[in-house]
Amino acid sequence: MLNPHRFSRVWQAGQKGLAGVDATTAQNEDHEFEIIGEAVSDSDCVYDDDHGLVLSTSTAGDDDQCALFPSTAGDDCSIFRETNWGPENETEFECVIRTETLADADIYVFGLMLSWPATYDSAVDANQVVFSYLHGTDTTWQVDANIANVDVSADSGVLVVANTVYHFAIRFDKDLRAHCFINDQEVFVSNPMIAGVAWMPIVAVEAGAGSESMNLYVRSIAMARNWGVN
Amino acid sequence: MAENMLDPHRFSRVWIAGQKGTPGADSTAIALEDHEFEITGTASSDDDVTYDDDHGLVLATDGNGADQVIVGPQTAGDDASIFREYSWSPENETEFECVIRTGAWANSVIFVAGWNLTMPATWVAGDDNDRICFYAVQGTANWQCVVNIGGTDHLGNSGVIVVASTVYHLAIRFDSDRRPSFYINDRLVYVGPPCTAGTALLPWVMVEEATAASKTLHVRSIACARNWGVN
Repeated sequence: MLNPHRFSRVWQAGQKGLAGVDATTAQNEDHEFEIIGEAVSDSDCVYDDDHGLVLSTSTAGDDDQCALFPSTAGDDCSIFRETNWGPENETEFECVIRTETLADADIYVFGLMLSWPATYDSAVDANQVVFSYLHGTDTTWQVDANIANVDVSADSGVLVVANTVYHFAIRFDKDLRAHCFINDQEVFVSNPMIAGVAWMPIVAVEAGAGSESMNLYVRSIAMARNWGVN
Repeated sequence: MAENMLDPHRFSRVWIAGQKGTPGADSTAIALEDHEFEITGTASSDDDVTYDDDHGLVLATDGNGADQVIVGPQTAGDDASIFREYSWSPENETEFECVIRTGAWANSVIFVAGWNLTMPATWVAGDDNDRICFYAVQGTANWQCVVNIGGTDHLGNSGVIVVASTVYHLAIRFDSDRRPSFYINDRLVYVGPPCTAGTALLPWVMVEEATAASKTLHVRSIACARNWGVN
């Protein structure tokens, strides 16, 4: 039943309750992921009957966010934070999301990051590999691959459509190159990334206007890697 | 290309009885109790569910004469159980499975497993507007299949005998026309008429006594699956 060399963990949205702003405060909330970002609060994550969990930004001001990120360092309850997801272990990231209405300067971000900024900027993280979309600027999904502050943004060529389900995947080969897939189609291959980078899975939405509450549906997130060698 | 870990179009959830503690009367009250299912039913209480060394969790009624133990998704609004918070209506090629083991088959005991909107204080096959489930009432030899659609009842005899202290794998699978197919131990035993789309069905497993003697039912696992919403 067990594989001594590799493991994976699938997180099904809602399987352990809603994600809240502090994964350790409410026993009935999810303990693996919590929600972070500008003006985020517990009420920004709810169940949808047919599409998973809905992340919604508040209408407090511009750039309000709602990002699913592993529970805070030191909480010691999320494999998505406490295990190293550096690229040297043929690490894989997947998520299934559904877009909603696209407006203003809305932003979607899915992938692997070191930290989540108060305002997303494709160059802000020293090391990251994410899919992103900035409404009004992009029409297609972008790949933002930063390697020790050398930033590369590539156009996937895959159109972003409102109210549509997407399956994103990032798979590192043994040479630390990130292979990026959208709906099983390979859209980008990076240069070799940096071994030992402590990035984590993130699924995030950022609203482009203060009056707007922007939604994103999350169905599942999965990670896999080789265990350490002896 | 590596094999996908995720399926963007369909998902399933398997609940292994006892994997996160015993279900209690309020799944939010105790940290170490199960948070996906809880128990309800006439005279049910926390001590009606215990571990069995070899057969999963044991549901045991109190023995007052008409007591029940029902395992079902936690209360609406608790926001912690995928089995309640997602829609399990028939239009998504929804599936239910459970593995149970009967207890004593005597004294008009009742076993129920499958989709229901609510569970009554006393089991009657036809009293729910929409209900698609198996039931067995001691005195009638076989597992029965009931499909209530908007208050109209369709009943089917599975032909499979109910035997005491016996394991059964029960499954109900809706096809793309919303017809429920009933399986016992992988054998198709009944197909019902098309059910109503958008019905908020929930998975339940129940034991009900009919005399003043405690009755038991072992639950090993419950699973549900469905297609995700289409865009």
